[in-house]
This record gives sequence, structure tokens and C-alpha cells, in this order.
Amino acid sequence: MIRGFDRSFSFLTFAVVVALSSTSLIAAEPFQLKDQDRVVFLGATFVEREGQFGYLETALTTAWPDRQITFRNLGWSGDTVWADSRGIFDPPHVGYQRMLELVKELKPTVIVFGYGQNESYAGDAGLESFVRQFEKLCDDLKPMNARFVFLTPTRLERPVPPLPDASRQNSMLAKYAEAVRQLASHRDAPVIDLFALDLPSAKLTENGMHFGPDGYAAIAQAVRKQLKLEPRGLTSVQEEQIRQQIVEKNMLFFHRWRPQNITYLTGFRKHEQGNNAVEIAQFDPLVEQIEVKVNELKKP
Amino acid sequence: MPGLFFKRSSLVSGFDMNRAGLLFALGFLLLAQNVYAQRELKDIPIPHPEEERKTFVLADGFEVNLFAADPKLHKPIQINFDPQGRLWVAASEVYPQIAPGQKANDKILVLEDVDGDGVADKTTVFADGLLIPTAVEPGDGGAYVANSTELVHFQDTDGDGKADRSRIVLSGFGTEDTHHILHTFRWGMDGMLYMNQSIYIHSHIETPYGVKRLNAGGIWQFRPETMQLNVFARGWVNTWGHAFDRWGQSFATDGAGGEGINYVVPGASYPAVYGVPRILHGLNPGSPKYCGLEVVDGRHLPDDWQGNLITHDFRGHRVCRFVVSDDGSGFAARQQADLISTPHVAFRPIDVKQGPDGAIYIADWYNPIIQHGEVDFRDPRRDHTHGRIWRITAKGRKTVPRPKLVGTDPATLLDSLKSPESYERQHAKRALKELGTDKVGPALDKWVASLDAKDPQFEHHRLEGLWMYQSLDIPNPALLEAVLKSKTPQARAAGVRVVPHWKEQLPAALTWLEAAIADEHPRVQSEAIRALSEFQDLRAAALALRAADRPLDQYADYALWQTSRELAPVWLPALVDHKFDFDGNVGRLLFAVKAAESGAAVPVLLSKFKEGKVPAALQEQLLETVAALGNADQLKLVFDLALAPDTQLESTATLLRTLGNAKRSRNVQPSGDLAGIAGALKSDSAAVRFAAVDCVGAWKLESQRGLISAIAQDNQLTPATRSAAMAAVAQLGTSASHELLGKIATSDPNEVISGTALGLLVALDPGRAAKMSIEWFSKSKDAAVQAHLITAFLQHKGGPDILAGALAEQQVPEDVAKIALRTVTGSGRQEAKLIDALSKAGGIVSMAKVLSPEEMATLVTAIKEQGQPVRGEQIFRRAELNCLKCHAIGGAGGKVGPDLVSIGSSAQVDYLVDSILQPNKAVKEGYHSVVVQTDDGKVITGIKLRQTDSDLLLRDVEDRELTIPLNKIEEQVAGSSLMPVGLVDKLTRSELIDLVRFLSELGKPGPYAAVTARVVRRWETLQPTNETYTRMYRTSDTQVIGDDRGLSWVPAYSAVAGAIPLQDVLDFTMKERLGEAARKVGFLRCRINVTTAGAVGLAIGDAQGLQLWIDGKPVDVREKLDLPLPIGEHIVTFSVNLLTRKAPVRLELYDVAGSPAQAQFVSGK
Repeated sequence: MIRGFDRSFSFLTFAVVVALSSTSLIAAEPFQLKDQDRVVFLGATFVEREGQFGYLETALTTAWPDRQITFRNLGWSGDTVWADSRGIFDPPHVGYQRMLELVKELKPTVIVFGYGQNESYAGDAGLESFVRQFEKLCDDLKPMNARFVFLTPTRLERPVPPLPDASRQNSMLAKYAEAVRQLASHRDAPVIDLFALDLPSAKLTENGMHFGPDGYAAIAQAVRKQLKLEPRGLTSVQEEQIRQQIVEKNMLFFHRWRPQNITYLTGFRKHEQGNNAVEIAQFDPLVEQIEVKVNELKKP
Repeated sequence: MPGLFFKRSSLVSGFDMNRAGLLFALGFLLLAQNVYAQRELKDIPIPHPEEERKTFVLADGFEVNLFAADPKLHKPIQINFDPQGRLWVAASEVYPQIAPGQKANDKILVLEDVDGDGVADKTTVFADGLLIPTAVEPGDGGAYVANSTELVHFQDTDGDGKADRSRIVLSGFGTEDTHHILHTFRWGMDGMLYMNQSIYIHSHIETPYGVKRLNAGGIWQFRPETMQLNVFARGWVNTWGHAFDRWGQSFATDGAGGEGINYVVPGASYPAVYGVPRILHGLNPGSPKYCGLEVVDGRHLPDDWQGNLITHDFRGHRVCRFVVSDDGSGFAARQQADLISTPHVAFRPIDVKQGPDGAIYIADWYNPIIQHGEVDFRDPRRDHTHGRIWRITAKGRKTVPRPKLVGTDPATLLDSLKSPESYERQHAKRALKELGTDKVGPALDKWVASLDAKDPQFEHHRLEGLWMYQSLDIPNPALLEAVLKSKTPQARAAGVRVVPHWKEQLPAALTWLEAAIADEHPRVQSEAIRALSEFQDLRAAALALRAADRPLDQYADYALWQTSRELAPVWLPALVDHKFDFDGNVGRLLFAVKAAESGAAVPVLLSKFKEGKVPAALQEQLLETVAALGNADQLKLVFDLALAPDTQLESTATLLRTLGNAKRSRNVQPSGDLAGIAGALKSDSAAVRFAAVDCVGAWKLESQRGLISAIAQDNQLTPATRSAAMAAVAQLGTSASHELLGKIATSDPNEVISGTALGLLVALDPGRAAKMSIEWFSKSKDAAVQAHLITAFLQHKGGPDILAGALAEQQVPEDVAKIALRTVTGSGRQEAKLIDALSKAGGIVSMAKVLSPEEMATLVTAIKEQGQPVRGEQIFRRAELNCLKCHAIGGAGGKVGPDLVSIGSSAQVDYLVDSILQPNKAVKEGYHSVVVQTDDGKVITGIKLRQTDSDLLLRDVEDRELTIPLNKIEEQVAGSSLMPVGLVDKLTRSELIDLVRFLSELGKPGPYAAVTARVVRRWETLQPTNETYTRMYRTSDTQVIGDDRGLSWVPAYSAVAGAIPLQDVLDFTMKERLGEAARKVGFLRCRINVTTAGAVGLAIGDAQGLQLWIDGKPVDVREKLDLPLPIGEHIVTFSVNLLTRKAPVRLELYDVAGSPAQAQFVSGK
């Protein structure tokens, strides 16, 4: 079954998935961002690189041009709901606590979770603990009183050999995606169902699993369709201007929340360079300046 | 921070003028932090390249020219050539830290020498907008670039020389320290990209095979076309050098390690690794730090340069050369004269590659200061704009015609694989790889088939062919099998490494590896051991462990240890189910079980033992393994056997020691009645008694209290045995213990004993111990015991505050207070209350007088102008300063602090002064202490060596390696430096000036440069105790030296120049007696570790007044000796007639022509 993942099979899965996801979407209130929303993204490589390309954020930014919405991307390559990538010099559970603290500092009104892909390599045996830990993560962030939004993992593609067929993971990913939908459903939270996106048939990745700019653009387009986000009368040139500002802002914010040399700035060698840690906060006004610009640019 | 401590009353009047001057200076230094950055700017040299070039001193027969310089390039970090012969440079101006508002615009530059005159005449910016790119390797139609968190592939698709397409290949590399981020890219012989990361980096990389994580330093191995990503080797601090020799063996250098060239065993771990209990070491312990690495060869270079390694002492402004030779399964690396040395402070050679013309190209990062630990990110002395590429050629030798490797047909390119230049072979392989399988496959088949078997290089050519198949990933079992049967062992070893790569396609793989395991060459065997770990298969385990039948050198032993562990998931369950037992061979079984550290295997070991299947020679080892891994009942069996009447005393002691350790490390003790230990407590063997006492304490055997109390009080026994007994009494832990220890503490005339008793009482009754200690301090004389007692309070949770409380309104002698303060400030802990209490009780005040930057500048000037390094070295070597107790120079001395071999070439004078006076201001990488609190109320401080899955390994201030089980650790926090404050408060100002001047010369060209000669740096000298005097009078020197028992040897160190001054040789002054003339004589000894047997050359030079013994047997002294020595450690002992000899003693190793011997002096503390 895994090897024989042919078109008709994928079509069948797709149909089932769409059916499931529409139920969960119907259960929750329609997805929208409100004026003064502060959206925080958490997740792994998909979320991290979205920050670098900015298409999804652009789609969400431009959908409500009259509303002031800010985004903070905390994606980290290879991450899981256990914060496996966030321990740095400490074990992951300490990195997990730091992540909670950081989210708290950012005062989000919306938290978007993008987990499940890396966890899916633990297979059927890992599904239950994934859900349990994801629930814990949600519970730990509940005191923020933010609205939760869930991204399901993306569907993997079959790349050109000799790259291994990443799509063999899809049957397992389907189960993890479904677990995310159910988790969202019982929390009455909306799902952006990346696994069920109606994407063009052309290959969007080179390695089967990670998207480049074209991939993110296509995903953003499909998400617009899925969430029924109306185009707001911006030209593609205007949208591209906004996107470039968003990418720039995300880079500045990256230097703010995950600065290089943290060992010396805030870590165990801060007695040597801790005086330079003042620079970290100096990225804040730079981030905010761009946000002012984006708010101007997105007015149709 | 506490300041320095001075007697209150003598603040002004009690010191001589010099000392007062020093105090004045010291006080200033304490507050000189922020002006630090501004000082010494006047030392920045004129950046003109010719000014720099003029200062270069080259190896005989070589010359250097400028290939490229700023403004055409800036801050080159890595250089790599491409098949067109162009030089790619990763360059960063942003380094070390992007500033708010700064645009990250670092570049990948391509330098081209169009007309072939050895000077670059075209620079192209291939990619920009990068953030601290630390590596570039051209390939796959573009270039791979390390861009902070990412590996990016850039391509120029329209041919304008500038990248127009980029793709993130991998992401999630850590950036915790920008001089550690992803670096040192290299294409391997196998077509894979090797990439390094350094110690502070934590990487989490998504691949189609799952997430790969590496939390610390190591070398990654990556196949871009399949995205297979593995860790090739782990560890090191900054592996800024990695190169392959012509047979595909890997070598690495560490830009913050001190072990020189590292031979890299695939999958092995090296110093500073995380999570691995056992490591391998570099080939040149005591080296300065090296950056960059290249193996050079080819027609342009002289014969004796073929296969040499070139690396950089970037702190000492030197380009260094090593000759590598076989040593068993591994290698030896011998340093030669420098290729370049210079006093120019901005010459920072950091990368090296051999070019298409056979010349050696050096990337010069050009910076008067280095690194960020020591220097502020925003220090204006940081150079962000300069950089050079130097080109070194051999005078009078033709350069190699630059090969044409692009636009060439596969058949011609394949012939390039026969080239004598590794540049051409390597880049032809890249060019062929990029042509692709379809174009190259058929030509490759033809090329291999047409190789001439009579060519002396045939086997190497054939191996290159095999590597080409591997690069293209076209399995070729027939060729592989032929390579495995090569006559050249290096070719067989390389072939073995290819086997697991195609394991799915090679039905005969294990049969081939079976032959390789039995190969007569140890490297082939060692490669086979590692290759077998890739086969998760019982047969692979059985084959690998066959290697245990032969004696294994350190690399092969490590390889087998690791393979045994990696295959444990396969063989261990089968062993436990009695389905597998390594062909019934107990030696193999024991090796595997010890490696896997598995208690589940213990019943199998015991059943072998009970069935009488264990050869006598292995019985003790087997029982020791059971004791180390077994449960309570199994330990009881060992206990009974240990005490059985027919057991050898040495075995009894060994087994009891292991049983005691099992309690401490695993909390397991033998079950049932242990009263039988009484016999061992009464044993005549000191070793048995000692081990038994230890067990009684560990197991808290109240029934033995009487016996151990008697031992504790028996003044006929050694202090060590009595101390162990007191420790055991303390562990019994009742009021009777308090009473006994209290009694010994107050009544024993031996300070070592009374002080030890008090120290033990601290854990039992700290309040009482504190009061008694103050009383004890008033009478004590022994500084070491005083320090020990203070340490006991530091190591007890809450102890420092209790002692501080007891000290209120009390007095202690000034000297005791100084020792105590030194102990506290050197503990890595912040104990302000205790420091305050000790200062008051000792009448000492800390002086914090503000000094202006100008006055600091005056001190620095005085050091530079008046400092006498010769006197400074003598001060450094003074016993009371204890410098060598913690710091080695070139590997000889303590390891608590950094090796100072090249400190003068990297640290500015002001930094050195600060480091001595304010040890906590800037602490070297890897020398931060951690303070660990354990569940039994102990507080332990040390330098973290590494952490395994089960234990934390620390080096404490006494230079001991401590193993602390992780499950006993309650809290672990960062501590400060272990260097005590106030160490130099007895020095005069001029002495301090001399000392700093000496340190500032270390590693600079001149008399204090790192010595490349293989001399003895660490000696031992015989202590003139009463017992030894008696033996000397009664017997001959030869008999004394031949029977080492009861002699006490203490460490002594050669001066930087390589000889030991006679005043550091302890002397025996013997009166005329029984016809023997009076004499004054000292004894020195050192150890030689021979790893490949053969004639070893010892150069003694001036032999006046020396006599010599090798392994206790007299040998005639000559200026030069060729000694045939077998594998193992050998002791060389000299007697030195101190009446006739005037010259210091020097001993150097040299190579005897035609001898395969490999030997090294044992260094260390």
C-alpha cells in the first residue's frame, strides 16, 4: 500500500480528508483575524521558512486591509510539540518553558500551531503521545486567552530519484493531520488544512518535503481559497511590495528573538558580552517601523 | 566581585615601595573594564600587504607572493577551488554580530587568475546579501554556502558569474556563537559533502529520513542528491580543519583544542563531545590551536613534502607543517619547521588549499585581535575590511600546468584521476560527477578495464575508479572485490569503507568483511570493525568481535568498543536468550558486554563461569565486569569469590574496589551477610585493607565499626589508609562516628589526620565542625590541609554560611585567612558572606582603589619596556605560585586552566594582567566551572569535561576527573573561574611585570615560541624521603631504581626551551660513608609510550654527570642512543650528578633511519 501510492489512491485519501476537514471547519466559527490582533506562529521548518518567504503572512495581512494585525513567527527547524529544537544548551523541556515565556511576552491574541510532520516519523506508536503533548502545549498556552488556529502538516511529494520518495510518509501524515483536526475540533478552533489543500499538480518542492518561494505562493493561493479570503483589490505588484516588507520584518524579528551569539549575549558567557545584549531590543523599533509601512501599503 | 585581600594594618606602611606600587596598580586594574577596548590601538599595524609580506620568515626554499588582497576581498573565512581553477571565498564584514539597522550583505567572491601569473586579476561577487557565510564549496552547477542557520545552494543560470537562483538545502543549524556556525566544507572521495560545526552549536535538520540532530561539535556527512545526512564524527571545540589523505583517511584540526592533528575514525568521538562516554584524542597533545588543514602533494613540491599536512597556528601567526606516518591502525604526526612565521600581529592564517598550479594558498583573515570571548563585539580594533590570499611556491621548481577539467570529455577527465596532484584528481572527480552517470558510466567502465596492472600506482588508480563509482552511486561489486584484494593495505582499508555504502547490493559483503577482520594490517581490520556496525545483523556482530582475539591499539580498540555498542540491539537480546554467544569465545563476549555496559548479560557471564568455561587469565576480568554491571545477588557471588582463600590478593583488592564503586555509582550492593569483610580488614595487604575499608563505608556495615575505628586511630598506618577508615566511619553516620571523629580532630598530633577528621565532621555536624575548625586553624601550619578543610565546607550544602556564622567575632591567623580566601575565590562559587567573614577574622581588607586608564597604560608600557621574560619564567615556575598545578605549557602541567603554550600570541598584555588579577573577568572557552548539587547534600565544582547519557564528567580544582551520575544531580548552575584571586599578591611590582612579560612572549616567534622538537616536557623527580635515603645508603642506585616500590616521585617540568633546570631536580646530599665518596645527586625520570615497535632514537646531547636506566636496567649514556623498544610504556631514568653537571637536562626523540618505531613522551601533570 505504501509503495503503491498511485494517483487513484491519493485521490481517494484526498476525498476522505476533505470530507473530514470540512466537518471540523463547519464546527468552528469562520476563520478571521480581527483588528489589533497579534498573531504568533509556532512550528517547525514549514513555519520557519514561511517567515523567510512570507506568502501566507501576506495573504492574511491583505485579507483585512482595514485592520491592524501584527505577526510574529517563532518557527524553528526540526521542532516538535516537545520543543525538541529549542533546548539549546538545556534539555528540550527547558526550551519548551522558554518558548512559553516568549509567547507570553509577545501578548498574542491568536496562536497558530504548525506541528505534526516531524512527529509523524514516530509512526503509529507515536501518535498518542503526540496528541497528549500537543494538548499539553495548548493547555499551557491557554492562560494567554488567545484564539488558537491549527495548521495540519503539508502533504509530501514524490521527488525526482535518487531522492527518496518522501510521499511514502503521507499515509502516516494523514493520521497525524487527522489528529490535529480532531484536536482543533474539540477546542472549537479553526484549521488551516494544509494537508487537504487543492494545490497545482506540478511539483512544488525539490526534495519532496520543503517548499521554495513558488511553493509558498501556491500554498498561500490555495489557503485563500480554502478560507474564502476575498482578494482586496491590490495589484500583484502591491502585494509583492508588501511581501518584501514582511520578509524584511521577519528577518529583523528573527534577530530579535533568536539572535546569533546568544551564548555571549544572554547565555552562560554573558559576563563577557552581556553589555551588547542591549542591542537585541533595538530591533523592536525597526520591526515596528516596517509594520507601519505595511499598514500603509495594504490600504487598497 | 571580591577584590584583593591585604592585611589592614599593612595597607600603607607594611610593604616596601615596590609592593606598594604594585598594590596601587592592582587596585586600578579592578575598575579598568570599559576602557579596555580602547587600549593598544596604537599597536595596529599599517595594513599595506607589502608591509605584512616583508615580515614573513619562510621555510628554506620557499617564497610567497600576494595572490589577492583588500579591497578586492575582505575577511576571507573559507577558501575552496573549483574545477576551473578559480578560488571561491566566503567573506564576512558583519562578523561577529549584526548590529540593529545594519544590512547583512556578506559575500561569496570568486577570484580568478586569468593569465596564470599567480596573481588574481578578476574578482566576481557571486552572491551577496548573506549573513556571516562561514563556508563555500563549489559544486552541482553552483556553490554550497553556509549561511548561518542554513546550507544554501546558489546557481548562476545565465552565465554572468552572479548567482540568480538560490535554494535552501538544509536548515536548522545553530548560531549560538558565530565563530562556531556551520563551516569547513569539503568534498569527500565518496562524493559526499563534509561539513563541520563547533561545540556551542545545536542543530536540528529535517530530512526525508526524519530529523537529524547534533548538539555540540562534529563533522556532518551529506549526500545532496539523496539528502542522506549523517554524523561522521563527533566532538572537538572548533574543528576548523578537515582534510583527506590520498587514501581517503580523514584528519582534523581544532581551533580551540590542544591536541594538534586528529586522526578521524569514522563515527568516533573526540574531546568536548556530548553524550558519549569514551573519546579518542589528537596525535599531538600540548599543541597550540590549529585552524585549517590541507594535505599537499604533487610535482611542484619537493619529495619530502609529499602528503604533508599544512595547518595554521593562527594565534602565533604561523603556517605549520606536519609529516604523517603509519602507527598501527592510526597515524603519528610530527611537526616540522614552520612554512611561514612572522611577528606581524595581524597575520591570521585560517584556511589553506593547494591550487591548480601546485602552489599553496593561504587565507589570511588579517586581524590584530581574534575571537569574541576576549574582546567586545564592538571593539574598534576588530578589523572588518581587510583580508589577503597568499600564494607560496617552492623556489626554483616549476609550477604545475593548470589542468583543463571543464568542457573536457569523460575519457580525458578520467585520466586525470591518475594525476600526481590531488587537486587534479579531486576536481576531475567533481567534473565527472557533474557530467552525470549517463555520460560517465560507460567511459568509466572502459577506463577501469584498461588500467595497467604493472603501473606502480595501479592500485591507487583502481581505487580512484572505485571512488568514482561511489560518487556516481553505481554499485560495482567486482571492482570493489578487486580493491579489497589489493596488495597495498591503504587501498584495502579504503575499499572496506565503501562496502556498507552498497550493502543492499552486495550479497557477499559480510564474507568480504570476514576477510578484512582477519587482515594482517591493523587499519584494514579497524575499518572492517567500523564497517560491520552498518550491518544490523548477528553475523556482523560475531565477525566484528573476532578482532578482540588480537591485541588492539587505541584506535582499533575504540572502533570495536563503538561497534559493539552500536550492534548491541542485535546481539544482546540473542545473547540473553542463549541463541548467540560469540562462538563461545569468552574474550569476545567480555569485550562486547563491557562495551555495551549491559546488566542483562551478567547471567550469561556467570553461567560461563560456573560451567568452568572461562580461561584463568580472564576470570578476574569477568568477575570485575559482573561487579560493575550485576544486581545485588550477582554482586554477592563476586563478594564471596573475592574473599575465597585461594583468590590472589591483587584480585581481591580489584574486586572489592569494583564492588565499592557499584554502590556509589549505581547504588547496588551485595545481598546477604557481608560480615566476611572482616578478614579483608585484617589483611596484610595494604591494597586489600584499603578496598575493604572503602566497602565498609559504602555499605554502612555497622558490624565492622570496631575494626575500622581501630584502623582510623592506628598511627602506625599511612595517612591514606587512616583517612579512608575515617571516611568509612563518617559514612556509618551515628553519634558514635561524631564522637570518634571529634576525638581524632582534637587529639591527633598529625595535622593531616586531624584536619581530615574535621573535614569529615563537616558533613555530619557542620555547626560543631565550624567551631572546632576555628580553633584548629589557630594552631595549624599545613596550607594544603587548611585548604582541604575549607573545601569541605564549600562542598557541604549550606556549609559556607555556617562557617561564616561561626567566624563572627572570631579571629584566624592572617596566613590561614589568605589560604582560605584563595580556596573560596578559586572554587568557582560566589560566597560573599564567607569571604567577608574570613576577611574580618583574618584582619584583611579588600582594596578597591580607582585607577585611571592612564595608569593602567603605564603598567602595560612597563611590561613591554622593562619586563624580563627570563626572570618571568623563573617566577612562573616558583612552587609557591602554583601556576603549573593548573596550567600546562605545551601539554606539561595541570589541565584545570588553559594550556598557555601560545597565550602571548593571542592575548593582549592588558588581558593577561586582567586574567591574573581578576580571573573572572574573561574566562576561556571550555574553562567555565559548573556548580553541581547532589541529592546527598554535596556541592561539587569543576570544569565540565563532557556529559554522557548517565554521567557528568568534571575536572575539579585538584585536576581530578570526577564522574557524577546524572540521577544524583539535583541542580547544576554555572560557576565562575577556578583561578583564585590574590595568587600574585606576594609579588613585587617588578616581579609582576616580569611574569606578564614572560606570558606575553609565549607562542610568539623567538625563544618562547611553541617548540616543535619532541622533547620531554614533563619529568618526575625523586623525593628525598627518609626511607629513600636509607635505601640509597644500603643498596645501589640500580637496585633503588629497579624496585620502584615505596619511592615517591613528584612532577617537574622542562622550561619552555625544552630542558629542565637543575634547581628543579630534588637532591640527595650523601655524606662520605663506607668508602663511598660524598655526593649530591638527583633523579629524573620520564615515560615513553611506544605504539609501533622498533628502534627509538634518544638524543641526550651533553651527557656530563648523567647515568641512565631504561625500564630499571642500566644503559650506557651517549649523546645519541638507538634503542629497540617493544610496544608499551617505558621508563627512562637519569641520575644527575649535581656536583659536576651544570647544564640543564634535555632529552629528545628522533627518528632512526629505517625504523618503523612510533613513540611519544608521556606528558600531562
